[in-house]
Parts: sequence; C-alpha cells; structure tokens
Amino acid sequence: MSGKTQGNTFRLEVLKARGNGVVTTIENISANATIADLKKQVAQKKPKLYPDRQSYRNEPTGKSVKDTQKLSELNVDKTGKIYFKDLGPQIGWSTVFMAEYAGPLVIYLLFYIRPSIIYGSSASSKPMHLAAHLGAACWTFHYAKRILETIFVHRFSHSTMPIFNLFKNCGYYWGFTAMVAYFVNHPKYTPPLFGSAQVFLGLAIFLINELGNLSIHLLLRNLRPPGTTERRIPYPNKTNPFTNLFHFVSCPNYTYEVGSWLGFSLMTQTLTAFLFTIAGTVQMTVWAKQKHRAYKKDFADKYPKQRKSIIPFII
Amino acid sequence: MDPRKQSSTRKQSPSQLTTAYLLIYNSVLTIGWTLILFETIKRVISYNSFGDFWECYGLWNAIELPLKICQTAAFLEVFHAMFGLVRSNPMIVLIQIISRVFLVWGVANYIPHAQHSIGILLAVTAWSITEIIRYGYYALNLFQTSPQLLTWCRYSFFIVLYPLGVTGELVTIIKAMRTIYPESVRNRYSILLPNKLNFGFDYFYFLVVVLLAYTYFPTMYKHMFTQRAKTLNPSSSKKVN
Repeated sequence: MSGKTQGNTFRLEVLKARGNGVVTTIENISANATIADLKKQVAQKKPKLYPDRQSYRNEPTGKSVKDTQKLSELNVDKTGKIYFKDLGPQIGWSTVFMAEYAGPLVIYLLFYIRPSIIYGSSASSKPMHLAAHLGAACWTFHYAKRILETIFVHRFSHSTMPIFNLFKNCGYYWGFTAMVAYFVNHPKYTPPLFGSAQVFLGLAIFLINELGNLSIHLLLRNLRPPGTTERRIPYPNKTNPFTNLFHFVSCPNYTYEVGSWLGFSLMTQTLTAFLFTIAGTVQMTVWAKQKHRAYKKDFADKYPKQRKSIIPFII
Repeated sequence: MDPRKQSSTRKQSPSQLTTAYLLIYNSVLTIGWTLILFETIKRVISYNSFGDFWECYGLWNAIELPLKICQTAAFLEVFHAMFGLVRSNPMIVLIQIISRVFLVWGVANYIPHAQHSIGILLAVTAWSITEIIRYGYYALNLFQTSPQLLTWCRYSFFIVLYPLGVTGELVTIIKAMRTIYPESVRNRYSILLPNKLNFGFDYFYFLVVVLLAYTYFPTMYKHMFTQRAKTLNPSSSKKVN
C-alpha cells in the first residue's frame, strides 16, 4: 500500500451493531485513518453522536476496537463495513466521582446531627458514644480524601462514562451511606462489645489503611506521565513502605480500602457497615481481577509472577 | 414474578445422566404442580359462600406441603444453570424464582393471616398452570418430542396467567401488610434496636420495598411478548440457529 494518494480511499458503510440499518455512509475515507479519525468524521455528520459516545466493532457481536487502530489493520477497507454501537449519553468521570463522593459526606453528616424528623424530637440532646463521633470523623475523612484525590491526584485513562452510571453509582454510595449512618448515629446505638480497646483498634486499622490507600494513589499518579494514557508496571518505591504491598498484589489501593472498611466496621460494630464492607470487597475484587488480567496481558512475561489481584497469596 | 422464558435450551450434547436427571426433575415437578392445581380446584368447588371463597378457607392447609416443596425445589434450577445442565444465566433464574419463594415463605408462611386471602388462590392457580406446562414442555423437549400445541401454550398462556399471578401476589402481600401494620404486631415481626449488631429491621417497610420491586412487571411482561414472537413466528424476526 502506497498510502498518500487519493487511490487509497474507500467508501465506508457504518452499520448498526444491533438491529438493521445504516448509521451513515462516508464516501471517501483513507485506509490509514484510525478509529479515532472515523469517530470525528461520524460526529461531523451526526453531531448528536460525539466521539466519546461511539464504539465500533468488526462484527455485529464482536469486541469493541481501540481508538488507535487503523481501518486497514481491521480489514475494513476490504469489506467496506463497520459496526457501530451507541454507548448512550456520556458524562465526565470527574463529575460522576464528585457526585458519588459529595453525597456520602452530606448524607452522613445529616444523620450525625440527629434530626428530629428521623430520630424523634429529643434525640439530638441525648449523649452520643465516642464510637459514633469517631465514625462520623472517619466517614467524613474518607470521602473528603476521595474528593481531594479526584481533583488533585487521579488521572483518568478514559474521559467519560455512560450517564446511567451516575444514577447507579450514586444509588449505591448514597444508599449505603444512609443505611450505615442511620444505625451508627441512632439514639439507641449499642457501643462495641470490648469497649474502647475495640474502638481504638478499629480506628487504628482504619487510619493505617487510609494512609496506605493514599500512598498507592500517589504512586499510580506518578506512574503515568501527565497528559498521556500510557501504562507501566507499578513497583514499590523505596521511600514509602506502604507501597511494598505491590510485591504481593496488583491493586493494593483496593486491598487498603477493604482494610479501611474492616476497621470502620470493627470500630462501630454495626451490621450495615459490615455489609457495606462485603459489597465493596466483592466489587473491588471484580475490578482488581480485571486490572490484574489487563496488566498480565499488556506486559506478559515482564509482569511479576508472584502478584495476585487484591488479597496477597489468595485472590 | 414468574415465568422463566428461554430457560432450558440445553447444551449441545448432554450426558445420559444429565438427561435422566432432568427428566426426573421436570417430571416430578410437573406431577407436583398438577397435584397442587388439583387440590386447589377440589377446595374451591367445595365452597358454598362468597365469604369462604373470598377468604379461601382451608386452601393453604390443603396445598401447603406440595407448594412448599415444589416452589423451593425451583432453587435447584439456579444450580442447573450454574453447573451448565441448562443454558441460562443463573443470576436471572434466581431473580425470577426469588419473588415466588419469598411469597411462600416470607409472606404466607411467616404471616399466617395472609394465607386467608383470595390472593393465594389467584397466585397458586396461575403458578400451577404455568408450571405444569413449563415442566411438561422441558421434560418432553429433552427428547425433542414436545408437541407444537404445548409450545404454543407455553408462549401464550402467560398473557393471562402472568398478570393474574402478579395480582394474586400483590393481594397477598397487601393482606399481610394490613395484618402487621399495628405497632404491637409489627414489632413481633421486626428486629428492634437496641441490639449488639446495631441493626433494626421493620418488616412492614420491607414489604413496601417488595411492592415497589413489582414495578418491574411491565418490562418483564413486554419481554415475554418479544420471546413469544421469536418462538412462534421465527420467520418474522431474525433467529439464530
């Protein structure tokens, strides 16, 4: 293929992956054009389908192809056909993250002031146990930390996600916050079985894991050069002992987060907090396994063999 | 909320043991649900006042045992899907089964007042006819001998039976909610604070949430019409295989 002349262009039919029908037809597209170029061209013809909303595949039921792939590499220049899937309206990751995390902050504190509409008129004057005060402090700290990390630390490899995720994620975080906060701040709250020993042990576990989680987020930030989506293998750095967990798992940030919630649950001795811990662990395990597989695929033999996904030696 | 569409298309070549097991399973459940339907009819024709009929006098006692066995056995279908005996998604099978299992154990069995309601009659009638056809269809389909008429029934009866069953389930749940609404009764059915796990649970509000879950009905009903069109007129819509 010579590559520069007009002769290298072809007529491309963009078909719907689900159902029948043509989205649009592009008369002259270069075989050297990438999927990203195609997205721009389709967006020009159909302004409603901005690039982040589009996804392409070779077969109606096939896998979505990457932005960097050229049409010629996909043999699309031979077939003249590509299948389009509408990902639906998109929303920025940081917007979703802010809504997800600001909610828990506000909702938890609403329960903490013990409003009469929820707990009855005399509730706010009743004494509150230390564990409940610390619970509010930890919850607030965790979500404030996340908001700050979203603003100052995280670099996202994708810019958008489907808008439905906003409702799903907010439902999860806000719902669990209400369920945890309702019981921890309840006037009939029962203090932990082993008293302050249990409370301070839980608090210590929580704080250590929060520090660990922050350390990993900072390390991951520095791993990815600004303005790129390049991937590298994360390794422990010598200056921060918390990062040593990278010797054992691919996603120590999740390991630490699980640890944080275990600490919180132990400290408050509240069933809904344990349930939140379990739900979070399940979800983070799924994510960690995905990421672990992606690392192993991207780096193959170079990737450290002894690493598991989230729980050292086990998962 | 019932009928499991598309549930039991089997894998390419099931072993003889699998086939034998599925044959026994589906036959036993066909017989079980037939028994439930038979007992229900017998009970209903014995009624001679509207009051008996409205309260379904004695119906629950007559069908309780086979109903509990057959409905709980449906959990096995989740395992069938999990271990690949049938080709369906175990999670979807579970969601489809759970509402009926909950009605039997969590409503009728847990709150005995709810047993005396015409809702039980509506639900059990709809369930048993659906299940006799469904399990019969599965059993015969193991040998590809399911008559066309049975296929038609399986994909048509739901038009009436599904709304009927859901109505029955809702009526039963509402009867249960009316029963436990007074605070003194409700407390017996709920977990009260304070306790060591700091957990409280109000059964009345839990049932409110269950009722809200039934708003899923229209989606499910529509989905079943789509399945019906796919199965009964394969030419009108694209069909794989």
